[in-house]
Amino acid sequence: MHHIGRRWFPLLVALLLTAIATLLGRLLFDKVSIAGIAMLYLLFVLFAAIQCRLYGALATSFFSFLALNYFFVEPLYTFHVASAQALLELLVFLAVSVTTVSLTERLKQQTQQAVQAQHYAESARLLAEQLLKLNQHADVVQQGCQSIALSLNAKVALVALPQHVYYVTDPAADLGLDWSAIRWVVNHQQAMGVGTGNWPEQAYWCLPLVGDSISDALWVLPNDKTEATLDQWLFLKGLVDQLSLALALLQTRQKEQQAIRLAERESVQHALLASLSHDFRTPLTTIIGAVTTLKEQSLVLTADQSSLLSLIEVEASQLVDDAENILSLSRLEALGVSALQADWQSAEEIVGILAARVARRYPAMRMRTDVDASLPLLFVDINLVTQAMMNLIENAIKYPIGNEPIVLLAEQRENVIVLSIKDGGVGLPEHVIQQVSEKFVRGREESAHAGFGLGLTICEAVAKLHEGRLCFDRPVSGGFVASMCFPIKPMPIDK
Amino acid sequence: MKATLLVIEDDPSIAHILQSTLSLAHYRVIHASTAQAGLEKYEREAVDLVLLDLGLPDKDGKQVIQQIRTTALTPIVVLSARSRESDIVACLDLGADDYVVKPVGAAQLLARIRVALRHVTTKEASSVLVQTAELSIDLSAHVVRLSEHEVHLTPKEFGLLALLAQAAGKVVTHRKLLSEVWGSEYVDHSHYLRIHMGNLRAKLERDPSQPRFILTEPAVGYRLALL
Repeated sequence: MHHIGRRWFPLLVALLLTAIATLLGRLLFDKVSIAGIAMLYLLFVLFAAIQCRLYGALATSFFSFLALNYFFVEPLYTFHVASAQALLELLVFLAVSVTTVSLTERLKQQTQQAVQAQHYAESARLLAEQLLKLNQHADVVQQGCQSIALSLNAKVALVALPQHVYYVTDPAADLGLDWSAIRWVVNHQQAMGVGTGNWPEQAYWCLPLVGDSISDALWVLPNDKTEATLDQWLFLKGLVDQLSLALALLQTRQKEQQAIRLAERESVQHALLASLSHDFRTPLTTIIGAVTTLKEQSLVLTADQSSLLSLIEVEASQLVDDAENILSLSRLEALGVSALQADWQSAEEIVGILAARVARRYPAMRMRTDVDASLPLLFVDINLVTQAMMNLIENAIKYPIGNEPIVLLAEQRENVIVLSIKDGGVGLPEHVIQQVSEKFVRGREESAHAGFGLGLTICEAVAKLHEGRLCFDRPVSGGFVASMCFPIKPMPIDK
Repeated sequence: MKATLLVIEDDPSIAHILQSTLSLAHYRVIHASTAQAGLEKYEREAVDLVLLDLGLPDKDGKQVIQQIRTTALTPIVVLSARSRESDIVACLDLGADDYVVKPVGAAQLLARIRVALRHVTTKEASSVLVQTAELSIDLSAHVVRLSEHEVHLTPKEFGLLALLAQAAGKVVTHRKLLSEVWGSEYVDHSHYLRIHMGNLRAKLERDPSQPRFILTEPAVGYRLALL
């Protein structure tokens, strides 16, 4: 009944409007021309066009045309038209009234669209504002889905492949989830449903959700099938864009917070290690000072006593190196490339520094240097590079090195400068070379030599920070070569 | 009687070791454990050399250097647990004569003290001649001889060598070398220094990769060894 009333109502209104116009026309018939009466009818048609739907307005226009003919055009009370002039007037009336209706209709549609667009934009903005306040993924998802469901009068689900429903606005309802459709949407990263160009005949929409690592797609099923329209699709798209954006933002924020927490932890760790290594140095200074002073005193000691004294000195120096390594590594890890204090350095000087340190620490060690005098300068942090190279040298010395003197080499190979230490020994075991990048790996499980295994880790970290490499080689001529390669950088050009 | 050394060091164990090391080498040692006490003792006593720790409880050691340098040229050797070159360079620029990074062996420490003290005597003799067994540098005549053979140096090379020779045995910072030889606007042009030092070593050293005369102090400067 209601349905029928809805259909006939515009016709009744049209009839009523026409009747009123006719009545008024009859009253004025003696005083105004036929053109005046036609204007009167047009006025009512315009009213209908503004107030009623297109259907009613067109009906008003048509009824007015008939009424004008019947009541006002000679011969009266017939639908005949006597003169060509009158026929033309009638046809012009019809054309004008239909044009008025269609123009008004278009204006109404445009106004409505503008209002709706504003409403959509406002809704999307409101949603964005609401979502921005939330800090939990689950809250954003819940708020976002519920807002979309409410705005579109639909049921909404957030789903992930293969078959996981992450969130649903109406758990009791049947959403008609189609997993093959969802898979298509996720794989192609394109939406599906009315207005999308993909399966527009579907009663649902399925959209890929970018910026979310937990769920893959959004499933939207309108409660009323007839509401799956292009307009609604545009509305939905705007809202889902906001949800995607909010999820992406949340993820970025969480990553930032995580990074800050990590940085804080690292800086605490770094400070701790730095003070530890500093605190080590004071007692070690005392120990080394005491031992060397005892040695200076030309005491009469047995060979055994004398070697014990030397042992204290050597092991204390080893501890100093370890503390230095821990400090450097913690700095490198905490600061990365910004820990570098790079400057132009000559390979010859680096080798010279290393040779001097070896000579001081191991006076009995036989050593040779081999430096290509024409090498370009290196752009490196001298302290880190000498420390790393010293670690390689210490490694060589810890393992049996044969009878050959160790050789400190600097040479150019293509676009890198290679600093190497070559010895005649067996070198590092293969598995250590493999695991070289891992911290706390020691050359030998039951090694009698001191060292935390930090040395090689530092070498690799230093090489990496300089965009270089750490490599090992067993030449066919025998022995073992440990090298650090540094890329050659262009020298500054003078003004 | 040997020289009087003022040791400003707050750590009692290190102070103890320093005292016995230096006394064994027949120096007269005065000890102060704070910067304030150190400066007071410096005013009262005739001190020949100050051995200064940087991390003092009441003041930074750098301030002590500044204060001493306002009135006197007494040699100052900095003894520091800080191996950060920026600290060392700052101390040297403030006028410290040398530095030793802890931990340091007795022999090395005594050698540095001897050099710092010897430097005072050479300065007083206003010598323009630096002479070692093989190398002789005559600053006024601009002549450098290596095993009696004259070595031809470019003006820049001679300038660098002259600066090192004037401070023979002491470290001269990169900054000082660059600003005096090239000019103050060149203090960041470290590559100039590396290249010219390389050339200088090629002319003076038997094996430039194991230099005996011009020693490198990494990230700080160079030192002309007194053999």
